[in-house]
Amino acid sequence: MSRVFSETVLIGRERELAWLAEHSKARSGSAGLFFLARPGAGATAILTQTSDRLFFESGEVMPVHFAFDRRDRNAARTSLRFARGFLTQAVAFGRKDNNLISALPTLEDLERIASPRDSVWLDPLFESFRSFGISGDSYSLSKQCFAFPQRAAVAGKRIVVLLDAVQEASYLVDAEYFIDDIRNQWSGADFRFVLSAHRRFFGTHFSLPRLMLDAPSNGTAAQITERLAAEHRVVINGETRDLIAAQMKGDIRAIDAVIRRAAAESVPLNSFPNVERIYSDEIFAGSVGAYFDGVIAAATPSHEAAQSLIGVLFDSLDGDMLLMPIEKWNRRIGISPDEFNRLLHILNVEELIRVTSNRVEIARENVAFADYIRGRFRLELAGEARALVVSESLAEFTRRAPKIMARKYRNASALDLCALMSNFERCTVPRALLDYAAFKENYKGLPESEVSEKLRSDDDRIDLPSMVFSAPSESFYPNLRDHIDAERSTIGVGFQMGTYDEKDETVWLAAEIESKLEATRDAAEFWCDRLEAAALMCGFPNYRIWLISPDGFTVEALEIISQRNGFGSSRRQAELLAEFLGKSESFGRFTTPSAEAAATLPKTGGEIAAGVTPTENEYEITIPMGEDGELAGAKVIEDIARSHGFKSSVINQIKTAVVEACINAAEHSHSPDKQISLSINVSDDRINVTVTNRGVRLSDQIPPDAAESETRRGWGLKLMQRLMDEVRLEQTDDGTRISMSKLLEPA
Amino acid sequence: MNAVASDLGMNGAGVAASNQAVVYAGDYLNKLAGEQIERECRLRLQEGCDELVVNFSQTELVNSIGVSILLGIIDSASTIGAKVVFSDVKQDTVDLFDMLGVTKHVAIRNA
Repeated sequence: MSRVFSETVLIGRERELAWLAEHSKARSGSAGLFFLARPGAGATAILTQTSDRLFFESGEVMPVHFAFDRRDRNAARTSLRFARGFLTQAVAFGRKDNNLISALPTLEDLERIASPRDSVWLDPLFESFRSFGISGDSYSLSKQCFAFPQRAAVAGKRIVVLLDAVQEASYLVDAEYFIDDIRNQWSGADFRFVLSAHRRFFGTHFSLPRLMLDAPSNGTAAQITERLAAEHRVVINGETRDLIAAQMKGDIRAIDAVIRRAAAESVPLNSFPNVERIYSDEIFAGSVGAYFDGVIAAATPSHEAAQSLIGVLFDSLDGDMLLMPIEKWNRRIGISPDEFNRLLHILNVEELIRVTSNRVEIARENVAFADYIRGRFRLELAGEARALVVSESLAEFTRRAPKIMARKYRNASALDLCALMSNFERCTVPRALLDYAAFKENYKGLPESEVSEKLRSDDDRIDLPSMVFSAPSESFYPNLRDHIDAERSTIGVGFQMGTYDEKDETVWLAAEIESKLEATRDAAEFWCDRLEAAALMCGFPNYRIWLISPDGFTVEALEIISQRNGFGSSRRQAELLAEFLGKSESFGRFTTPSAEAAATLPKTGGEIAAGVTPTENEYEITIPMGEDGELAGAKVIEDIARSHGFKSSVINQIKTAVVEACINAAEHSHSPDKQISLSINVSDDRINVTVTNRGVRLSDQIPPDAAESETRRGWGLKLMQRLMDEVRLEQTDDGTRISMSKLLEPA
Repeated sequence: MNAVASDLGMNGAGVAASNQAVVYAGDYLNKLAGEQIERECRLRLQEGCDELVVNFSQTELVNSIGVSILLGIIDSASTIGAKVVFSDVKQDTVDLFDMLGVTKHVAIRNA
């Protein structure tokens, strides 16, 4: 792995690097540390960087970095490679010459060039290494090779051994207890060591302290994507950068593969179709697909077993076979119990499946793996033509891309109901924080400054339960995933009065639903039915439904909810509830930037590092969403239009249309950057205004129910069409563009 | 900027000519201003007012959400037999109300 790649991968990993450095140099405490990482999270890069930093610090601690590799095939080869690597790195450290490691010197070279002060303790190790034979007892050989660090420590050297990719030992033929033997041999060691593996590899054996590494956050993954693209000179924009980060779920290995292929094929990643084309190439003919090929080949003892596994995985993706009993898997794949256990272990460690309560589930959230399985099934088991499979898959990937982003945006703006419910803790809160009718009567329309004070003195209160467990509803009742994103519906289990007996148990089923106005009776009924079905199927005897809609509920809807023993709240109430419980800092909210619009040069929609220079009569500004940002945009347009001789009444029409376009973007897009781009162009006979925003596209927004569409919201587009001479609505890859024109009438 | 104020209408003698309340819209009728107006109107109706005058003398710009809320106010007033009047509305705003059909449901009274 190149140093440039490693440094890019290290974005946001300062905590882990500091931890490893501290462990390496410590003189007390546990000698060993587990470094457990999600696959593709970049653990190797972090260990490599740790090793490099220790090397170049020229301090006392000598780093030894060794990565397990399935290509060694057996424990004996692995052990010899470790011993050889130890000697090489020891000589290199003594000479302060890192280049020696990649030069692959012979044993004789190493002995000859080792620094004299190191020869004292190195010579016995060289002698031992020369006496090793592959044909001997593998167990003894391993013990001798992995004794090198302890022998060096006894001779006075301070060493840290970084064992990387330990999960690769699963693929060695005679290595069932290999890692356990090393761990046992090193317990009580006089040197420091780190055992780094995929996080499920060690199971529940946690005899050492643990440092966990998850995938980078969305923001960090996007930064890494952008930097990798710059390093490989691949054109990318904000929308495609975020798509790549979201679709690969922060898997750095996969992100790097996509960027490198785009560079190799000179394909700019400046559109969703281009991204999906490269992604498709990676799945069907690239390193992403090859990685999955390797896992399946290593996990199965024969080609037939591999084919059977593909079939089982394909069936697990959809429909009624999401969770399959282990016995059924075993029967369908048809291999010995030992081989089957090994298969399950390998797939589980790679986090391609989950094994819980004797059932197996494919990791459907791993988009790349799911796409790979579908493709391989169609090609190998269904025998479909390759061109057909690839073309249909590519079309599906392209159609799906905006939906991936829409879901990401919706979830980013979702209330964190899990966190909110976890903080109930049997508090007493004003009823108006849960009951929309009470809130509307007493609080809606009040200045913000008065709301908190009034809430504090509000005597009409209700008791919240104490929640002991909360999780996305679909983890209790999978059918709900057909209706709502996981992040928008939560089930919390708790106790109401604190007596903690059976009668005291209560369950809250909460859902954050979409609605443009106050949610109607039909919507309330629909959601009450869904949540009650979940309660029934899960066998909850005492439960309460809690529906949250952006603008609350109609009177009729509230009646329905009340009849079903529920609460109907607005989003604002939920936010106030979080503030009231004193936990708003951990609550999922976005902040809107200042309302004073910056008339800045363009930021959104263009290629990163590209600039657009406005020409005469062309203007571009970026305004923030919300906080009346649209007023600033309207003011700028007023000034421009007035300077070009438009009449006042016409200017007002243009301003109103632009305001409508902006609030449409702000209200419905769940925009990630909370910005709107305005592009204004004035020609001889007209003014053209283009309003662009990122976020959920109009076509991907949840359609309003019939009652809503007949009434009052959705007037924005109608107004624009009446006020302007031309209006064109376009879906971009990752948002919406509204282009409007007004003909010039002289003042 | 979006201050909403209200007073009870009085004739020269200091006696209410009708049970009228005047609610002043601010310079930008958006969702927030609309909700504030809605609250004021609701309070005045609860106090027994039978004519609500919404004064738009300071209003320069209106958006569709604000208009939607105004229609809700008109609905609520009509269910209890109260009347809603819009006063001092600029022509641009009248045109907008016309486009959205608001003028069918409310009297416009300009000085």
